Amino acid sequence: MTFLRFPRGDSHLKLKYLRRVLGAIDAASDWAGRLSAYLIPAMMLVMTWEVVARYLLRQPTIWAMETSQYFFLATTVLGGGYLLLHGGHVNVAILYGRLSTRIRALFDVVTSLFFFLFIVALLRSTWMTTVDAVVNLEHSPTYWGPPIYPVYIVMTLGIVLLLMQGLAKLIRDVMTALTGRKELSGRVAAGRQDQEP
Amino acid sequence: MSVGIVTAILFILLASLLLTGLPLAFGLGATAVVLALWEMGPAALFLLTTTAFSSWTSYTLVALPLFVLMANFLARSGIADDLYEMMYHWMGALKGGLAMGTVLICAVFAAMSGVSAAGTVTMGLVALPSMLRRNYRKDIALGCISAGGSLGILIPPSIIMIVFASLSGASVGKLFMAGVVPGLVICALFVAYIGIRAQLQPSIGPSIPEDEKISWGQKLKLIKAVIFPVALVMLVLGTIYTGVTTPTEASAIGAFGALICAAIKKSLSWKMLKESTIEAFKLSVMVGWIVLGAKSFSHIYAAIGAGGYILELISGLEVSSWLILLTMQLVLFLLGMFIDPIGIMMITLPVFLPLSQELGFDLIWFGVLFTVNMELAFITPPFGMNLFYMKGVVPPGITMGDIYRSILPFILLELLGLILLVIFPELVLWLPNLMMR
Repeated sequence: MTFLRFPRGDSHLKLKYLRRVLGAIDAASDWAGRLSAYLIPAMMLVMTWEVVARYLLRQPTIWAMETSQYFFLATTVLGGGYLLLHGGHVNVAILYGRLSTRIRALFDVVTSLFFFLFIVALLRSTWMTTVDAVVNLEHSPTYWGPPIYPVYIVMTLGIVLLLMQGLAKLIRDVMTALTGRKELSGRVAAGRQDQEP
Repeated sequence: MSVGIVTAILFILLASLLLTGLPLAFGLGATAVVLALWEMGPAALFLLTTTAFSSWTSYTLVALPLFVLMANFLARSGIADDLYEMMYHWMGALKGGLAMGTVLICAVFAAMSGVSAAGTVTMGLVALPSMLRRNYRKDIALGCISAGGSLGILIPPSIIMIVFASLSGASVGKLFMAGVVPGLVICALFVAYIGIRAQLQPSIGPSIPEDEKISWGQKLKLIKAVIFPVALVMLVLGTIYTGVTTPTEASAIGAFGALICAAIKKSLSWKMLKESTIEAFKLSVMVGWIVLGAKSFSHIYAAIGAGGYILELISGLEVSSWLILLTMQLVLFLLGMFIDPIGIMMITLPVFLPLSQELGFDLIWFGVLFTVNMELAFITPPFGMNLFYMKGVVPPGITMGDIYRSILPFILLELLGLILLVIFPELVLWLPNLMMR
């Protein structure tokens, strides 16, 4: 049974545009995630280099440790939207797992209020911190002391991506709740097929 | 409003958000925001950014993606096939030998990787079909793999211990060392159980047929399978134990070492690199966001003075500290049946850590008991991650019910191990104290 009926071709078109916008958000999250994932092997190389430099070259670096810490921050914050897109943020399935697609979507619409409360609060305070850091051209207080504002910019960017992905998910959940048919992202469907052996 | 009522309302809010499917990270974060706005006003929300920055640049947590990367490299390297081949010929003649050997290989995998999925999935793919072909009873064949795989988080390195350390401030190096003896004890319990049961009831695990037996020369040749594992264990645990590197640096050189092993074994490819990276990425993003939610929650919760309230409440009960310890273990066990280990940590540790400190428990010892509980959480039905990993790799015809039944004796053995660690804390503390010197 469907609540959504499209008597005029016009609203069909609107739905098509909506899906296109959602697809663009998905693409942004997906690429941000896939690219930032490679910071992990980069961390491996940086820290391996640190150990080699310390013991074999007897010249410990001052940058390796801090660099890998910023890499970890970047990969985590940029991955937030990616993981939401791919349904990887772990939840408790005791009750939720047994519900029908439609009821689940309905619950997701309601609880998304709390998701937005958290992410908007996080974005607001991070944005203000970032503006401060950029205005003052803030540097890290360590001996190496690199500029810290790019790190905050990446943080803001990542949270924005997650927020956008949250909006996309909300719109899809509303569509699923109305039609009873799971509104899927093209990327996730494609990704799942990739994983099949 | 009293702290008691605020606490009750908060937990009801958190529980309803989690039950209705909001991911843990956001549920914890939102509850923190509600609490901050309610008790302290919008200015307190700056805590979110400082918490995010400090959690995501945590030197301890940097080790997490790298140990997962290492585990993924190893799982795809073919090292498991060689180990199994060797074990097959060395232990196959014993009754139940393949199952015992599988547990031992899981322990070796555990010493190279910090996740329980690595041992479970690789052995599920390599050992399970082989055991079933040799007419091992399916409950033994399935159970020994799910249970053996769970050793992954107790025998160092361990993802769970890294997260525990980052939340509690315990030393990762000491926690790692503290997991060695308990891991071996529980591994020995599994092996002994299989061995004794196969002696009494040979049909559960018959020896391999005569015509498959090979000469001693061939057997000796197979030993080269242990070269890579031994080298990697020395590289990671050896450098941590001697203090040559920090656990975080050890995670990096361990991952690099695993990559080189894979390259030597010619199993290195772009596809393998990409898949391993994405897997490590997903787990570390997941944990990173949950840690942010949990830390925001516990910071704000502590700021309104709630920690003291719970301590007063419980110490006011005037019960023995052992009873409280027992209750904590019971709570962890019950939660473990339904919730993912990382989730359990985030929900319980803000309360359990100050409590165990108040009761004077050794943090390292408590951390290891906690880790054993999380191992149990990986294998207790109905929601045990290892059981789901197994379901993903078993041949058709094996049901979830088979997997559930197969794990029961191993849960009892693991509980026995937990009791031993409670009664004999030296099992846990001997090695880390030796390292301290």
